[in-house]
Amino acid sequence: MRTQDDRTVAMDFDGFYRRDFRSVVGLAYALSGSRWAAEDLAQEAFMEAHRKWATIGTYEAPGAWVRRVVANMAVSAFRRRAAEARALGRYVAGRQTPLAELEPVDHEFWESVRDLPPQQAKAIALHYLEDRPVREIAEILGCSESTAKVHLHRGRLALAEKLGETA
Amino acid sequence: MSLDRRAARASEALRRAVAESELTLGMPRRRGSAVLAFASAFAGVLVIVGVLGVQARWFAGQSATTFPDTLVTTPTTVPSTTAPSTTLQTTTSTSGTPTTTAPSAATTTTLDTSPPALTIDSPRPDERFETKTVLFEGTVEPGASVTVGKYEADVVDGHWSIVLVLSPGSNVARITATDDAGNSVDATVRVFYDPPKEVDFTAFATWGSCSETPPYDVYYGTAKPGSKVEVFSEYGGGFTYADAEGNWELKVIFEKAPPDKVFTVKVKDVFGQKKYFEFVYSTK
Repeated sequence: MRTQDDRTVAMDFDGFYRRDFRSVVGLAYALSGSRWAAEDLAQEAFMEAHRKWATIGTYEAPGAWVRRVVANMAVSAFRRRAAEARALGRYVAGRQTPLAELEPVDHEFWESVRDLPPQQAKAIALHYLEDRPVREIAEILGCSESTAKVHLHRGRLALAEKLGETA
Repeated sequence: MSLDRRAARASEALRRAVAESELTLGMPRRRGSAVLAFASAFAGVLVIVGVLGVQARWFAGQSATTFPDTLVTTPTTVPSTTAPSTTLQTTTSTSGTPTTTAPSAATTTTLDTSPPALTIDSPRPDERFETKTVLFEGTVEPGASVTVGKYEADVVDGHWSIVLVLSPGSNVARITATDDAGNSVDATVRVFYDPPKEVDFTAFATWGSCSETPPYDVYYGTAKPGSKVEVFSEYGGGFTYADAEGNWELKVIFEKAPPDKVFTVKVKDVFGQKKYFEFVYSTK
């Protein structure tokens, strides 16, 4: 039996999903590098959010929670491979297509990001891809703002050196 | 190309790749059973859902066209040489091709690419210290954080400070300020730590016996520069301080020393190190 509150919560999740799903897929793509697994990882994160929506829906920023989940999954080799296997299974069955490929220069950039330590890679992706301020990056990473700044700073320096760009 | 420009390009490419892709998994729906929801999400059991009359969910081939044709707006920043940044607004329809338009007041965001201002007020370059811990301080753009290596400075109202422990000799402190946008700037200052000269504690007695009245002896040796050295005995004692070179000397008169009795004299430094001597007031 559903209550009025349940209906409200369900509606809120729909809106949250519609608003954030694509950008979460983008984050998963950036951090996993897998055209196949990105959507699956994002879907898994939203499924988790959906299951716990009664709690997560009360958060001030449920988007931060789902991004933290997807970022952790994306940098986990095991989770990424599992998601790729599921996606390939759907592809064979004709139910899924992979994301578009990036040009080599852009692929190289994100590959360099993924070579960074995980926290730095997440901070960089959230900063550049989602244009998030340090306060939100810290919330998603689950650390202090100062720590997030340090991750961002070190990540940028390492990226600039690796790519031969000026920081 | 700067890192920011390269990153903006790569980010835009990735966003476009997602926006132009047909996302096929669809939205999770609330169900009575979490297990069923999980299974259906990943197995795609559309038939089961339909047969059971449970809430329909969006599946392959449906999501991209079922979703409202929302506009995904993503700012793209093109750094300019005359201004901190110029922002173009790229608007991408979920079912269409991205188009780039001029900036609009309502939707334009500006990426801060200017490093924060940072000064080191103290210590001065090449300043020398005899103490191991030194307070470093200066000013920084409000809101920015300041770090020295892995250590974080206290920042209050644009003033930063941190106490660092120096190593003997030359020390170069690299101060890094990072603002909210992730822009950072480094400043360095070199200082020197001249640790106090290490001097071992030594003590010697000049004679060990004396036939003068009153009897006395002169003790001398080395100790930490400026530190106190004390001499104790049953029949007299005293104290002195080591000089800047660590040398000390002390004449001790044993006024009450009984004739021809051997007694012990203890010399001690501030660290508790001790040396023992024998003394005799010789009358024979």
